[in-house]
Amino acid sequence: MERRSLKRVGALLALLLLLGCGDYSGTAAESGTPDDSGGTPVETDGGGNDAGDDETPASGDDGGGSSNVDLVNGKSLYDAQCRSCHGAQGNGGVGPALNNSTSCPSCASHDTLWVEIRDTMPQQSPSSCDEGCARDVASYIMNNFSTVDAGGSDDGAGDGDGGIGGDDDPVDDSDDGSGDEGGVGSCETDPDTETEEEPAPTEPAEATCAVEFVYRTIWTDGFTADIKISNFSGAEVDGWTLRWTFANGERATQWWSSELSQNGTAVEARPVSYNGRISDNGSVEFGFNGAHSGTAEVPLDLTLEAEGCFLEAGAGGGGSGSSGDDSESPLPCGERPPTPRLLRLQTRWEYERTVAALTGLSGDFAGNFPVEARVIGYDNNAKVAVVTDRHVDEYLTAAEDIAARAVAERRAALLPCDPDSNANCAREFVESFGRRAFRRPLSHQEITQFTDLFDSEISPSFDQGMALAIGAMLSSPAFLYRSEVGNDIGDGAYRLGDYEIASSLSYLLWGSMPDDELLQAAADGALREAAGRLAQAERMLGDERARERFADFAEQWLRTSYLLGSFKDPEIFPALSDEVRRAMVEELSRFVNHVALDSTDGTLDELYTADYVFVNGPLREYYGLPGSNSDTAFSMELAGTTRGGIVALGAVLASHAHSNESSPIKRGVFVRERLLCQELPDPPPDVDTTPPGLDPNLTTRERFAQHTDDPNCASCHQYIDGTGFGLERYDGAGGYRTTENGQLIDDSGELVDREGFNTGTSDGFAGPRQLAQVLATTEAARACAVKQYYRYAYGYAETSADSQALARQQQRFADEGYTLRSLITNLIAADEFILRRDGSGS
Amino acid sequence: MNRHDPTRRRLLKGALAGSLAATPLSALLSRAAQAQSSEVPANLLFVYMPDGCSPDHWHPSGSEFDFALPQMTQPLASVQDDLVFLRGLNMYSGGSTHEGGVRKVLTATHDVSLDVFVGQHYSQQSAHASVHLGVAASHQNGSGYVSYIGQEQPITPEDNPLRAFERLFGTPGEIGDLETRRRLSILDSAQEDLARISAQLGQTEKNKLELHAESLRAVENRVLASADEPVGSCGNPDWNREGWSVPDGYNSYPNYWNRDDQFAEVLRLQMDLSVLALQCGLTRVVSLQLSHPVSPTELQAETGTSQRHHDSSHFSDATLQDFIAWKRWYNEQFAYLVNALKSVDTGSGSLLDNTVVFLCSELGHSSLHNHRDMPFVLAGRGGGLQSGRFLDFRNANSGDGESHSKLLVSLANAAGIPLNSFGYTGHGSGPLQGLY
Repeated sequence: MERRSLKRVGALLALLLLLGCGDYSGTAAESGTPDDSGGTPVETDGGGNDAGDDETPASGDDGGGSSNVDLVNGKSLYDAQCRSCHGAQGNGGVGPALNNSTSCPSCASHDTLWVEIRDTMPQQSPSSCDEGCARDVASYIMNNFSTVDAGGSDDGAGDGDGGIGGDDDPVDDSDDGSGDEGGVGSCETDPDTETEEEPAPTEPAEATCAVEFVYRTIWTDGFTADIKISNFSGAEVDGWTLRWTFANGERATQWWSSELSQNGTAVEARPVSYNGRISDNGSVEFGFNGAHSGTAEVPLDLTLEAEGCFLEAGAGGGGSGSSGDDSESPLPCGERPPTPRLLRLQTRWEYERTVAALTGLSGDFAGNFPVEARVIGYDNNAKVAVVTDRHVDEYLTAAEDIAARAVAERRAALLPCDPDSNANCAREFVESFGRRAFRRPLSHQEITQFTDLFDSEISPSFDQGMALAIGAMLSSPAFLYRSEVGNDIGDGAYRLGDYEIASSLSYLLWGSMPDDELLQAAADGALREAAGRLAQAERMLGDERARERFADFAEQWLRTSYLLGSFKDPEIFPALSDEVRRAMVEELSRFVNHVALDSTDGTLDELYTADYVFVNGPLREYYGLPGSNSDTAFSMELAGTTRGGIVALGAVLASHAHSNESSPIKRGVFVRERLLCQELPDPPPDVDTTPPGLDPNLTTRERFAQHTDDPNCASCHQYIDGTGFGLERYDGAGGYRTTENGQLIDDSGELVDREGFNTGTSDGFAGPRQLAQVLATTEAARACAVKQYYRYAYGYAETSADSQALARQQQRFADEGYTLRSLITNLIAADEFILRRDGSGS
Repeated sequence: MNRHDPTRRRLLKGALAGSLAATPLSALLSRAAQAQSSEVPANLLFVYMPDGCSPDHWHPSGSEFDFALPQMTQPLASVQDDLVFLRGLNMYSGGSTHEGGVRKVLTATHDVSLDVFVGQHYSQQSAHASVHLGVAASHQNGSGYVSYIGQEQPITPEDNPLRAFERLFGTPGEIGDLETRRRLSILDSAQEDLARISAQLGQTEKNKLELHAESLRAVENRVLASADEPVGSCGNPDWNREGWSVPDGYNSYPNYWNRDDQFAEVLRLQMDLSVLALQCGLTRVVSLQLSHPVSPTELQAETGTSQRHHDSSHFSDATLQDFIAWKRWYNEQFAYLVNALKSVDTGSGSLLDNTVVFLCSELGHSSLHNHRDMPFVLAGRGGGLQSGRFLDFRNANSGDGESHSKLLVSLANAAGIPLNSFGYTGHGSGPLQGLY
């Protein structure tokens, strides 16, 4: 491969400061949306998550300098009081981002920032941070969230250029694609000039240092890189730290003459004992070996922290600078597909259904398989679904069992021929069964491979050969993964093959393999065009399997999957029988499917505000609705004033509550994160998160009101509690109540900043029906529904690379009147459905 | 044609590949089991308990060799001479609260967790690179796992002890028997398919496919080895003497082994199995995840408190005793594990002598949800660890305490891997000073 290098001589730091706070329209808009900025955190299930990697050394031993104390104190104050809302690197969250002038005008300079902090922060207790406190916090922020003094000024921002960081730490490890600088905008691509054309926002200070980053060698999956730091500042430099991020999942594996540490995509290099000092007109060199998965690119965001060292704005323009290009990169020019090429391992849910459809057997086929790790609530994330040796053990055992049963119970149905009279029957079976198992015709090589298993001495009879062939196919990666890798169509784009499209459709709509008709449509090439896919989708949505699948999506979206096994105190909630729980699960499925597939209206609005419910006898009784208490059949009936819509579903309310009481907090977080896609930060460390104890004289609302009273908590909890309070007339098991401890329950609430944190869009409401109405007309809720289905459909946590595709899906959703059916069909009709980009998800 | 004799073909292929055929796995297994002198690298056993502690009631008071145990750890007094209590270790960087804590307790923000890392180092010498057991650990787990095989790629542990035993000890076949040969043939076919897909995809999904290929090889090696001789160095291990089983016809949710009323028994079985796996040389590394963060377990019969574990962990003065009761119960179980390791005679001492057990959790102070002053305890003398001590690191780093990443380095070193840093290095690299 060609040698690639980038010499960057520049006042990198100064440039970053300007990029952070100056007119920097490209990313300002992006980072203004809290749930998008910095990419979607990939957590392993669970609600809580902190994507922010605290890269900053906690003790500034190596920083030196008198102002270091202020920075350390500033960091300490920031971490304790600011970080949970503004993010570890100022990327924002509940609070505005501190790295752009739109969301933080006062971040332009230290002088304006510390005054702002003193006068307004923390939001609910502004007087608690006096001038000294505010100055230290501002210094830390202006010093790129580092305790290593970079500027030498007492305020850490002596040149007045500002010091907003975050640029050097995208805090984005969710997917390699997100950091792909060239990921969007392949139109008129000229990678060589692309970066050179980056306009320098202003004349930077004169350079005093230079960094050269060169790939000495790049081979198929690895490289050797050399780095040289030169000092021509006129004085010796004492101590340095060089940071960058890798855009394509490159990993440093071995290094010399420097201490490297890599955290996600972020790399930090520090000197070893003998090269911390760089004499004037001197330089230090170090290097490392690394691995890459296809691409090794010179990092565009090298930042050097070294006293007296300033880099000049060179060819690169800074990592975030080039992402300004990205967001301008226009649709008309044809962006690259947002989702990466993936192999998607079947989940247990999918495996069960696939085997049933393939063999006609029924049973608990995947019961011993490892449980999937969930990512933002979804069990089908392709990145984390990898095959360990335990998987192989279980796949093998299951395949052997299924094969034996298939031959014993389903031989005639599975054989297209009679082996007694047809000498070619083994081959015909391999072709017909294999085409369904692999969801595509087998190659000649594969046909031979599996047919040979019949002739082997370990298969003395035809039936043994048949079992062996079935066992081998079910153990094959071609069966276990469904392929969404496509074929190269140039410019880093790939188009799915006909059979890949068929599988994408069937697993999305059914969670199972394609049926014969769909495979035939693939064979006919009918799925390449949106119309062909939509015709199949319409057909498939009429099948019962589609209802089961859509209910599965709804359960994962609404996080109700654990309802059946979760503990609820039987002394407090004696009426919540297993029968009622099962009815709640069934209700959710019937309701969402009714709206999506049956209702003439069928909109998101209806999903929120429906005035009907699906209940059977036990659930009717549990909800206190009139009618039979013993009827086991479900019927659709009027909800009365206490039910209707997803927010008032028993399954949702019981799932987002404690075992012994309701939880305004869990429910508020549920609305924020699942319905509005507004991720909340974890509570800061060292805050006692113990819920207030039960008190026979107070309502839950009164007990939890301390969160609103305590200013340190309120800055975040204003977004949570006010929503959850509106659902207080539902107890911890989803039952309806009007009083608690003898007091009438106040279920008024306020949805603060419903369109996004700090948007000034707040609405009061009285009770759950009004909350539902507010949500139904909230743009963020509409956009979120699209995003949640997108996550589920692609098995993938979206990144900034998906923003345009998502925006188009949201627009189409609006164009079609927000019908849930269009949520499904728009995704299938979109070009992105059959396009993928380079860049592995693992 | 040779291809119709997959067993033979596989062995030939192995010979070409070098490593295993040159040194048959069975020989390595036996040797690993036999060669338990004090010089051998330590086995590692990681035990995770949920939801942190009350540091005041967990950590000892006193000096290194003369210390007293408070209420929570008091049940460990009987094995105190086999333990090293650690105080003042903090977990830095990474995420916060339960989810961030469990993600970094064995990773220190490294991509791969230490159990997997060490296991992979010895994968050529063990039937199982690492063994990951749980007790209701992946049942309704919304908060995370301790073991990671790649960046953000957790390994979900096996919660069913019967299935775990089957996987470890299986039913040995014979190399020539039909079942074994058919099984190898299926694996062989899967590897062929995998190789074709890999060749087509090149760099795309390479890591995923390589891991899959490694997993296929590991299983194949196990089938070959078990066909050669009884698994590991143990013929017919004495396990589950009480005959715990899932009742016939049980078909409810949750799975029987995930029920609270089975928790204690399943824990005992999984601890016994952990000991067996090490004793029989099946692996060098076991991790055992007990429940999961935000643990909903209720064990009134065993602990005397009706509070669910996580509920009790948010304690007030009035409810502290419930949390203490929980921790005492867990530590009684841990003491059982230590004694079980101690009772295994390896010919040159006990299994505990060449094992280090790391008892960990994801939080320090449970109510404060912090990662400071973590409840970490080591057991055993593997790698030459001197036990019967209490080490207090609170004064390190000008009173901030010491980073737990250094403890992970020490454990890797004890296991014979001479690395100098593992994950987080913000407080410097190297092992935990004074431990070894």
